[in-house]
Amino acid sequence: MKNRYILTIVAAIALLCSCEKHTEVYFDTPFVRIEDANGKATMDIDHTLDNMLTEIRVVVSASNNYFTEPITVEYEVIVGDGLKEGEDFRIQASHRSPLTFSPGTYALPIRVIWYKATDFDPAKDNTLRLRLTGTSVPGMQLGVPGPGGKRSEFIFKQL
Amino acid sequence: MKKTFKILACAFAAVAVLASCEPKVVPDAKCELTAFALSSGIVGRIDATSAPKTIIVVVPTSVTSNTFTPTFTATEFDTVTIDGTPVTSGETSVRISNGSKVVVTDAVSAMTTEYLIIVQANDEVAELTAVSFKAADNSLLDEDVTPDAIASEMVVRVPGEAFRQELTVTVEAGMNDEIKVNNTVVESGSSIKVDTSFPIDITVTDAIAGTTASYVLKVGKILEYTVAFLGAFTEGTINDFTMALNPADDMPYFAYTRKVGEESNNNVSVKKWNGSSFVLVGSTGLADASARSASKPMVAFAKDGTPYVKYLAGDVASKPTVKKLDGDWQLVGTAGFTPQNNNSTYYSAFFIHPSNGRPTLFWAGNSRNTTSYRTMAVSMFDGSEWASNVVTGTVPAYGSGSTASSGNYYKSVYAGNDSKAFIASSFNEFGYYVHEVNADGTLTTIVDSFIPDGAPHGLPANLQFKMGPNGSLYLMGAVRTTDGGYMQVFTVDQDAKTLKAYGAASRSITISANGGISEDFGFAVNPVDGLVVTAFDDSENTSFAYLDDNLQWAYFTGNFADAASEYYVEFDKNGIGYIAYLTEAKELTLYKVALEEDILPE
Repeated sequence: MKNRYILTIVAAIALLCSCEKHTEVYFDTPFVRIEDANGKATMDIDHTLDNMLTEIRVVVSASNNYFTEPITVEYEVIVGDGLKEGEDFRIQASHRSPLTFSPGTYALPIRVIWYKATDFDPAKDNTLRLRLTGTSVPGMQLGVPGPGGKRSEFIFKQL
Repeated sequence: MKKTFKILACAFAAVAVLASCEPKVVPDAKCELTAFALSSGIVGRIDATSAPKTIIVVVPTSVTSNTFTPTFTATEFDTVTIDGTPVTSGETSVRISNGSKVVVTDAVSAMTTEYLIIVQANDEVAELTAVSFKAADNSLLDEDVTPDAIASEMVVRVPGEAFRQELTVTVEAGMNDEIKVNNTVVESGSSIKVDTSFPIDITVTDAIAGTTASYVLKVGKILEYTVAFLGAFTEGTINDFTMALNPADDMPYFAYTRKVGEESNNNVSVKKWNGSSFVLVGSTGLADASARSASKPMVAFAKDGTPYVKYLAGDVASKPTVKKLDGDWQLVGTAGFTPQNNNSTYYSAFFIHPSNGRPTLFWAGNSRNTTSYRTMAVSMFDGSEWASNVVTGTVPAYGSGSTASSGNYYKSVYAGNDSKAFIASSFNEFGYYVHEVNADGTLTTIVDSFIPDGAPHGLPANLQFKMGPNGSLYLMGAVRTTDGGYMQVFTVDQDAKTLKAYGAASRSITISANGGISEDFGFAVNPVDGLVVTAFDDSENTSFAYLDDNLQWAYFTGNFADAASEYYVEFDKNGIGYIAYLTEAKELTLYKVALEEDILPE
């Protein structure tokens, strides 16, 4: 008889424990991506065009939990062996890495002017890659969440 | 007991010694505030150099209470009162208003310092108030360059030598706003160098209001007009031609007389420039030139773009004939519809009246002892037949002046728009006239007998007449002087009913025996921006010129023909201009005049 009471009490406690309030888990992973105005991560450049201005953007996605102070985003510039900075293209100096996002600013441009390629060689690597490398927010994902880290790199290709 | 007393005495002495070793209070010789805030978001700006010393606090309009718990830092041993109330930092609530007095008192000296609190309301707006490239800061600029208005996207234009160069930009923003130009903080009213190859990003933040405004400033080039060769053609041998723009397709059409192959007389054809080549409009050789040449061909357009061609037809004794393009060229009414033959020295005004679509021709008769002899007459087609009348009352009559030939009607030129028709006319001795042509062909006088100062008598026959922006009218004519003359553009002042010289005199002229001038010329006014362009033969050299910002003639550069004739200039409604002339080799040659292609950093 006594054991039965004990069992009932234990069961009640277990039941109460299982009724613990459920905590909502929200998606709150900060991330940063690099893309053009259409959300694409590549752009072809006609090598015969001169003084062609292109603009892409770096977009941060971070809730107020993370965006209490400026966020800096770093990117690296990888120039293929078919291109020369200053001759074939120029990146706007004021928008070079690192980019600083003040709270409330979620997108910043990166602008590149392309010049007519006088010695274009299609056999060479004529790509210009802008690759996100880090941010000031610990845990901020580079590229959109999901496999492959899409839009963590933007590729211009001169054709 | 004694021993105990000794111990206590020693202990007391030691305590006394230790107490006497405590550091002495030394005045810091300072009595001032080093920081002051009404709350975490309202930080005061202490100005200890002003007299009186001030603390400026900017209070957002959203803050309605005037009671605050200030936090502050003062120098050592100082106490603070605000309007007489002792205040402890972060603890004491006190009423603060503009003019409140903060008194800092040094507890260990006689020093005191007073501050006056100045309360400013924040404007709550983050806004750029001015941006400019000042000539004083930029050697490549002759004058300050500013956008028309502050907007989220702004464009300024600089001369070619400053285009895509590094320039210094000056920015100003509203109260308490922080300005960043290309991510660099710039004080309001200060300057920063920018690479104008790229758009310039300007961000203005009002931290107090928590608002931000973003702007993009693009620096373009001041666009200049350029002339480009489009093409040339001949059909057999072209004798003469006229050019008009079709309002439907904005393309230039050419009515011309030509002899092809073994033809012995000039026939009439019409071609158009279709944007890439010249193409025939209807059949070639649309007149009956089997017996005598046709001459003075002109093309005009209905509002829907239907072309009409008029020429003096050889088969009807140099009377005018009009044909309309309806599949091919179809006769309008009868051939040779005027009662007398026409003076074939000059082209005269032929147009489709915009109010009723009636083909209309102003002409001068060339048959002696008739009422139309060297007198203005008008013919209109009402849809079934032509009606011709001599114009009286509103123009001089032949022989009405000081000589038998005074009042000789030379010619009229048409200018109009969708609703109104105007002609400018020249009469020997009586000068230039401008009339509005009413729907029934009668005239309403705008300018009566205009003779420029210095003209001893009469005027040469030659004139051109064009419509400019907003229906304004311009006339280019020859001003006769004692030793020759010169070309001059006039505006038509419709209120004062007179012509007014516009811009510098153009080239000098030679007046021939028949009252005309020896040099051909054409001119037009851009309806978009009012640019006046002329083309003319200049001592056996073709020149294209325009009135610059100072209303002086500036010349276009180009490889134009050495000598040519029959110059025509026309602008379409979008500001694209065409210049055509006939070379000595009888090639009809066409150029385009337009602003250079716009290149903005975008």
